Amino acid sequence: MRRLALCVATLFATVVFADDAVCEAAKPLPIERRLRQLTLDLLGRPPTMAEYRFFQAKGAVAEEDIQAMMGKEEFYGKVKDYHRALLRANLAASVYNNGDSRLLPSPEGVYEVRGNNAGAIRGSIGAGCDHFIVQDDCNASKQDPSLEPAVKTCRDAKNVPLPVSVDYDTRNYTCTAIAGATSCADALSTNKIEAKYEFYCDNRRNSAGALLPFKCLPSAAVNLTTEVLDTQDRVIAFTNPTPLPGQAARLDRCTLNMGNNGIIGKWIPQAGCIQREGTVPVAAPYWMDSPTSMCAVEAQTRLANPYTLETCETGRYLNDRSCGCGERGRRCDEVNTHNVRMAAFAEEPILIADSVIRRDEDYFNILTTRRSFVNGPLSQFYKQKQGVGLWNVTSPQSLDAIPDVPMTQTTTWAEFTRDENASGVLTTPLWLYRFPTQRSRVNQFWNAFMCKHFSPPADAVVPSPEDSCNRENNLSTRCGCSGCHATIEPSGAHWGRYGERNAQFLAPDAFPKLNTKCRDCALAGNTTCDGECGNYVMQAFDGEGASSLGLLRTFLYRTPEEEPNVAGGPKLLVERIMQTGDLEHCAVRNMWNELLGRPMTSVEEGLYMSTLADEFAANGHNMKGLMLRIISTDAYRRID
Amino acid sequence: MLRTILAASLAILCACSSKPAAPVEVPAELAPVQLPANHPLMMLPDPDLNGGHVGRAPRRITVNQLKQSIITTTGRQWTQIDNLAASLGKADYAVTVSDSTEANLVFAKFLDDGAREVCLNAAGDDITRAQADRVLSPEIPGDARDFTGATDEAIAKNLTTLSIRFWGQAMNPDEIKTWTTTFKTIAARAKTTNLPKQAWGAMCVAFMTDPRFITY
Repeated sequence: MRRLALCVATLFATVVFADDAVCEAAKPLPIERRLRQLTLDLLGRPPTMAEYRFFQAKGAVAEEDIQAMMGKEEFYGKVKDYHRALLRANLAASVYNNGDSRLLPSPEGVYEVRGNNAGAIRGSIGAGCDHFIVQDDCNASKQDPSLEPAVKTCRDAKNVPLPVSVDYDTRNYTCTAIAGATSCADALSTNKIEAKYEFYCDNRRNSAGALLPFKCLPSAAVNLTTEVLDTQDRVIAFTNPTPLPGQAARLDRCTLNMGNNGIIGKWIPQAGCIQREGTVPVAAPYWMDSPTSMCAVEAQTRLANPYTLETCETGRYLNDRSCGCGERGRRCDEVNTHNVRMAAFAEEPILIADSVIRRDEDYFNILTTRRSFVNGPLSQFYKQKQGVGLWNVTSPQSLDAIPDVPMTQTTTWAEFTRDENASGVLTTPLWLYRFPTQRSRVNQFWNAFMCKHFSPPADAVVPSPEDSCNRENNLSTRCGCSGCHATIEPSGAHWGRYGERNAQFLAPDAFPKLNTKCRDCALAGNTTCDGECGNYVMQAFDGEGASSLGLLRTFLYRTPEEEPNVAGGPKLLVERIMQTGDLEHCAVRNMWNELLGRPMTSVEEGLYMSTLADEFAANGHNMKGLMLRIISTDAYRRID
Repeated sequence: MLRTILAASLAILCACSSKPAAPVEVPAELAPVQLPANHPLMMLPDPDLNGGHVGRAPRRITVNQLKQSIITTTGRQWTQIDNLAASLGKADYAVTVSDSTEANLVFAKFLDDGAREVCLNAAGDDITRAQADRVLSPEIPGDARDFTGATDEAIAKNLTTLSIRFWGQAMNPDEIKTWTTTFKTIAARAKTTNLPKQAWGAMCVAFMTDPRFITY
């Protein structure tokens, strides 16, 4: 049997070698094959003819030759690829960007946000501002004299831009071009539109930017059939005496006035109307070098609503007419910014791992080092506090200590030291976003660095659905779950100071273990506490939950012995796991799999693991040393 | 699938051998390979207890390795490789988290397309180059527009050079004989149709679509 297996193995090797198809004993790889294998594994490419000739003349690939390969940039590129796979370095499916904060240039060169939030700002999703009226010179021209006051107010008392032109919204109105007229004034004076519809004559811009008069009346679908007249018999509104659910009972003629629902500091577009503000010249946005033009709402730079004092530094800025995109448009995106930023966040931990290997440091520094890197997009992301609402990333260091790399330098990476909470790749935005919950972070850590997987034991018994133990809320103790979650839950607490589905560090001074305001809100039944308590326990499903109201969520169900995990962070987890030897064993397994193209078998583990892992440890966890050791094995030198 | 291709290749190779080698007595023990001096000895497991394997698994190259292989062997890149990377098995680490190295039909089909593009362009460029600068016919003296006059020795030498460059292994004599015959037929046809780039271009396609190019 053994002879047969050997023969079969040799046959496969023979095919690959293209030697005679006969069964013969396994033999060392010819030097060309070994060289090709080494360069593909270490450098990611086959040898050049010059390399073939050099080693054919030399007769062997010696250890120093392999070490020389490990000094080449191609080798570090291959190691980066290895870590990309290990860390699953791609945020494309982890950070959802619906484009609502994207500033796009109009044909006239005006940058504006035209996403879903334009509905709250201008009255219609996708609506931009008036590109032909400068906001602060709003009386220089009128688009619709009959719909606008004699003197327009360009900004309110707190300098918030107000609408400077208005159009009827074609979702509610059917607008018909008035043939033969050059403007509404012309149409009215020549009786091309009835006088009573003076307020329903709308000068609208065509795709070329020219103004043409239209008669806009409620479309049949909205069923607003009754006209309301003013004292001069002009229609000022349409009503529906018997509106169906969802139908408007009345639509007033469009003006430049906005509603506020009784709250000063709110601006609500008039129903059925698109109310546009004008443009303002602005300094160069962060992705440009030259000044440009922006819609007056987007061009604002306030930190808070001047009336309600609500912050503009969260995603709500998109719906608040007084906020805008901030200094140099920092809160908003440009069309390429998001992808550039995602790529940069994905590359950061790869560079951390690369720096550890390149400097021949202890390999597990990749899990604990405070060293990190920023390129232009990341540097400016932190320094300018960009990407508000879309990203929630705590700056890894005080802003002064983050290297200042120009935005356009995407391939220039500057090294810096993160604050004391940093722990290698485990606290990078990539890790925190890519593995968005505490449980997924634990799961990936176990998979990637301990080569262990959470799965029920083979003899696990699923409890009957009627069993009351299924109603246990603490997964660490719930029957059928505790087998894995008794480990996952307390381990997840190591990431307890990091938000879930974001990369926010929940600093103890800002997020204390017990927040009495959140507790009081929870007790009062306000389970969101107006959006302030998302990281706290706000609902109770059992006795322990009830006594945990107002606690930072990670502390729910944690025992006193487990609570230090929260303060210790991922670094403490790594320190503990290091004591078990699992990290070393897994590094050996992973590298064996990478180089031999198959997992280490249990027999091989028995033969090699202790030797390789002990040498790896004795060698200061030098990854190049481990690779060299595996490459030097008899097993690597055979193909079967 | 890889094994299927390898097995099929084995059958082809055996069929191509005009003189099958005599059976060789298989030793009961694996002979250790040459290790560096003072290298600590690590015993190989019993193949019976180790799933029949003691060494590396033969495997298909990844898309990144394929990309580098194409440019290293032909000096030019397949223009569509990045567009087809996902179909060829490259992981994006968002939806697919590990590279697929399965040698499936999709991979074979696209590689065939790529080989035709790269090889015919490389062969076309070779026509105006001096012999020493040629990518696909560096060992063939004379006019690169007509290879019908090339000697068997020159063709064999060129095939050996290409096989080392593409596969990392020299062709065996039987294989050289078969490939030389094939090349002569193609070269004659290329001359007749006045498409000289098809001569070594076709051979390059054969080298690049051979399992030995995509496995190691």
